[in-house]
Amino acid sequence: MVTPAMALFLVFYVAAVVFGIALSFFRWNGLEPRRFVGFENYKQLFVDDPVFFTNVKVTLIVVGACLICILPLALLLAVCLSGRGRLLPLFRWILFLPVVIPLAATALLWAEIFNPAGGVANEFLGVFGIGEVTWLGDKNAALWALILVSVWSILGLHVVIQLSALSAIPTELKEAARLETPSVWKIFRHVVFPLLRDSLTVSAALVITGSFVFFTSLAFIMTRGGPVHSTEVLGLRAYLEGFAGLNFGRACAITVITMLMTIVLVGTTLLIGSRRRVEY
Amino acid sequence: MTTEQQTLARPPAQQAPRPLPAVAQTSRAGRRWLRETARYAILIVASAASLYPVLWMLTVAMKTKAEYTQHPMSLPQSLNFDNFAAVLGNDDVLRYVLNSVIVVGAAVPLVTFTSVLAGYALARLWGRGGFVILFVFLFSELVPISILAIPLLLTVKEVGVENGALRLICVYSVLMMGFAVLLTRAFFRAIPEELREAARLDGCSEFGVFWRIMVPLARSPITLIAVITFIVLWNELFLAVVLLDSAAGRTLPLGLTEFRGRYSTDWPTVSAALLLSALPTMVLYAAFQSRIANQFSRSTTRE
Repeated sequence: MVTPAMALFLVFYVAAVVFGIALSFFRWNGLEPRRFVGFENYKQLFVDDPVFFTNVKVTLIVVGACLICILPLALLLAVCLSGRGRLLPLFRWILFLPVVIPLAATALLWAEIFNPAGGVANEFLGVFGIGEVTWLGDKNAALWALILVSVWSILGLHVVIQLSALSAIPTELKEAARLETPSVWKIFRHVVFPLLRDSLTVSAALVITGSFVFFTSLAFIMTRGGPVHSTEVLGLRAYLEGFAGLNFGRACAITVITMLMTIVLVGTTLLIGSRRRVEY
Repeated sequence: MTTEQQTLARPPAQQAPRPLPAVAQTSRAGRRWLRETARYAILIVASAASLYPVLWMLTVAMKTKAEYTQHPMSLPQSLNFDNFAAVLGNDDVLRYVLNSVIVVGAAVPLVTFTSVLAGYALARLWGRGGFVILFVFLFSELVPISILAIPLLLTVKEVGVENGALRLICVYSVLMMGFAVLLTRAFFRAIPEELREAARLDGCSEFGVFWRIMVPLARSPITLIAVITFIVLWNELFLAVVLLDSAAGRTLPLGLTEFRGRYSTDWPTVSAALLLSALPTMVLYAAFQSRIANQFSRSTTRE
């Protein structure tokens, strides 16, 4: 029964991982024969390439900022949305709306909002008397503008994940707790929150891998990694190295490093999440 | 657990809180009012932030170019759907939509079907032997295939899959499969083993247990998988950018970026295109949510 899924997986996933690792030891422009160069690609990245250091730093900032913004906000909104209320489904639909908008559309929309010439973002700041910002053209502002957009576009997904975990908690459990204490906060902290551990772990893992993936698309459309590499995450660097630099060996080396980073980051998250599991 | 069960076993009349003194009642009501106000205040602020950019796009889509340049933030002067008509009449856009429909339409059933099979097998029939396979699926959640875009392109070329749509169908299935398999596996593991044994004793075949009992039980996670898969794949951009060689096979998200490039001075028309591209997933989510909400309210009306 696993065979069909596994077959697809072997050809399109496992093979890509193996081939990617293998090619990272070659120099190849896509046309000429491959030339084995050992660890040369990695050495160049780590030793002679200050931009690569920036790529790694930017990637880590994106992951960290997304985690810090998304998890608490999603939990808060899910708690607000749980329970019964005539308007709650409407709010839920609205909060999820950005998730279902194609990322390409989101990117183009926000690029127009951040347009320094008459874009909405500057009009908005003007209301508060703050001067104009060039947003995507500013090497300090661009990264944060893009992080704002990624949070905007995936927060709703995590709200729904937390909400479904909340609603999976049996009402009996909460009622039993209510007989013990009237404090809503205590019930949340000691009964509900421990049961959300799994869903929070899943959310955190999804945010980490998602920020590797989503952010690459956003930056691809909105800034192409600029200005001065300030939004060039690893995924985008690999793309540029392959398609613009025709250096597929090095692109694969970057991919392998990205892979290791996600494994370490998500692995740590899962380890933290799986300790002290609670079951009733 | 035992005390809880005893509490629950008590007749409902005794579960109702004892009448409280008047002061305690008002302070409790006051706190409740405060809590509800805070809840709706938070929801309104968050919803405004979610909705405003989309509504803005909608107002812009109804403006003419001149109107947009002069008043980018005002409401449109009239309900004008010319921009939407222009988008729908555009041959390129229709080609992008067709490409997306083909790719997503093939990938969603493929993912759903294969992953329910695999998830069930990994939850039940495999025991320890399935560990390695489970590990591969878990690994694909750690390292999503989108990260592997460049080596994936090289692999696909090496394997010799030349057709762009076929490339995307296969790759998109793999993109969603880890998530889907793990979700169905978790669901099936939560179903008591006794159910399967009872059905087997009644003469149901192993496949019959799966098809007649487990799949109907799993309707809600299956719907969830199909819906999420559709939404993610309809919107997927980066893999399409990397994997598609020819302009003819471009999917909708990729087409949008091209459309934007061609109409770079006509933001109102582009707005209309962006909104229309999001329409199927918005409608789908609206429909899906009401179903989930029904299920939810049905399970809570017992109290």
